[in-house]
Amino acid sequence: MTKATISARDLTYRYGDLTAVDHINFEVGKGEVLGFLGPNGAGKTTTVRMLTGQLRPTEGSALVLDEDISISAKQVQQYLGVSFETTNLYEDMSAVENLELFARLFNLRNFDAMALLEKVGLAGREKERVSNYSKGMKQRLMLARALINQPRILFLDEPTDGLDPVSSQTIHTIIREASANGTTVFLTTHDMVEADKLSHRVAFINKGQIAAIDRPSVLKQHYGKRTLKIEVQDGQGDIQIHSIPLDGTETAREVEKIFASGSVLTAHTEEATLEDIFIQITGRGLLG
Amino acid sequence: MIRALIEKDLKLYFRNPFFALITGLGLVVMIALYFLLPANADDSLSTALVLPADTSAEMRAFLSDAFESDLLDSADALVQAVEAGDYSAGMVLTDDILADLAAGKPVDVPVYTAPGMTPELKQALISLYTAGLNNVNYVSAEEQLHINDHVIVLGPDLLDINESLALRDRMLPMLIMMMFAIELMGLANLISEEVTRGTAKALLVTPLRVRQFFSAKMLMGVGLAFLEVLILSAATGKLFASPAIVVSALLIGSLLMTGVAFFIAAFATNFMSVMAWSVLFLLLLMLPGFNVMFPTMASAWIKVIPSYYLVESLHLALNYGAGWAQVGGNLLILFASGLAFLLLGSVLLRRRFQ
Repeated sequence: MTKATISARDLTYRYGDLTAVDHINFEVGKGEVLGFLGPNGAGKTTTVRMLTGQLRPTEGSALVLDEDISISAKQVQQYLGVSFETTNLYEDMSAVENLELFARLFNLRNFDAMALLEKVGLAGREKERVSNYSKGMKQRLMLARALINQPRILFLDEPTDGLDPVSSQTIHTIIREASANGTTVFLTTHDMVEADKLSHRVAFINKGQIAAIDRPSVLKQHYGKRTLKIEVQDGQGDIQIHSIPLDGTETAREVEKIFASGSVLTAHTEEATLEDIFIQITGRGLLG
Repeated sequence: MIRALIEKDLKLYFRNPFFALITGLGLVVMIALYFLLPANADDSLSTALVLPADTSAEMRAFLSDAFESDLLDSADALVQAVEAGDYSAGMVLTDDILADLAAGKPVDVPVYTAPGMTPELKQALISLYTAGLNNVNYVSAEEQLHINDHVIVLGPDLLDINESLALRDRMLPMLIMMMFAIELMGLANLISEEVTRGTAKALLVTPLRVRQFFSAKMLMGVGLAFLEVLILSAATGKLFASPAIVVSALLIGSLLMTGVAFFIAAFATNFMSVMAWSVLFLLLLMLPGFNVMFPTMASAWIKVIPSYYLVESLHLALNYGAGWAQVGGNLLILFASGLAFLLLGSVLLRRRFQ
């Protein structure tokens, strides 16, 4: 990993007696996409709010772009792009007006709203009031707003939640481009497939603590069981499905036996999903 | 940054069809209402009197003079004339009443008045009749006069002008408060929406500071409210009675209203709750306006309402051309209240961002 752009050290936040985030430690490198996964109430949003300077940690610290975010929030926020989970655009303004307002807050001169709107596929609808936009369009506009200042770190909270495949694809492409250009992406999502596809590493957060953090492939290798699924039709015409662990000592013999027992219709390997791994590690589902 | 936010807020305010309409329409209606109301105070008392048929001509002339009243033939004619508005009031003196008066006994005289007579005019009428009856008593019974000698001034006797105000001038501070009320609701709604829709969060993860956010809201609120009430005051022509004081009062009043809007926005969670909270506050803030319209209803406790100092200052400056000496204290209290509301509202609002 290259030099860390985000570094959480014993980061903790308490709402009264409830510890929402409990001494978490992790680093995110430049250009890295970190998938931050966890069920509702696990502490994802509180973590993001601390990392973006919206909340002051109860304990510990977060270095963002080498600055303590709770001390130099405004200085750091100049280089952050944040897209929230819930739509929070000015709905009675157009897309261009929304972007131009935020460009002024970042003190950007010669800001080209149209170029950004073209990038997120909203060109042609730029003068319409946002209230007329679909959910996917609003989500893309939120992403465009987060990209206004060409951020060095992009915080995205459920950026594709409830979107159609085309809108999701547009957002995925933008995330990959941003990462390729050296922007760190802190991606909070419920979508395991999305996290798997986009993230260089994923972190599982559960009950305010980081349960695991690593590359998806490593987590799968470490926690997941690869299996071979074989669909067989027996003598009576009934179809049976066999699932054989690939890493077992008896695998070859079992496969041989099944192939001999009837006519094999299909056979394919299956890999554990991130959700399987999360359940294995934490004992609870991601949507729970 | 602050300028960008103010421009955005003005844009959003006037894109809200409800507030755009009531702001524009409100201004026109208030100005129209002012000019539709009577321009002069009708504090003249025209009275009529009915005497027994057998009253002598000399006595008739004397009583007509004593009560400054026209003589009518019958009680029915008097009632009809008062109802028709030909007279403000009338009195019927029967034989029994005149006999009691001649004997120096206390009398109970029914007096007919037109509906809607102001308390001040009623007071004046009572004084007139009391004086007249005492006069009759003296002439007929040769007893000492019992005339009320206290002066009842119609309306506040300020700066020795000693004349009544036209209804529209009495109403003007109230009209200004109504205009403020519209702005208060609009601004409270605008701020509340920033919180409930999460746009404030989006703004505050940029280099924008919380104090800049509040400054922008304050400047926009004060500016818009001030401009509207200034237009209203100028359109009525009253602004020029005491311009420096009126402008100061309106400006500080705008600060108070903006502070109250902050306060409301800290509690309101949607448009309806903005309206509900606003009504609650406005009921209180409007009370001093009624105090100007109906001075005899004045109570000391009204002074605990901060808007009293705004209404009172405006009333004195707009209607009597009062100077700094008369309103300076009021304006200081108003400024302190406005600042207190603004600070308290800001603190409470800030908690909602957490």
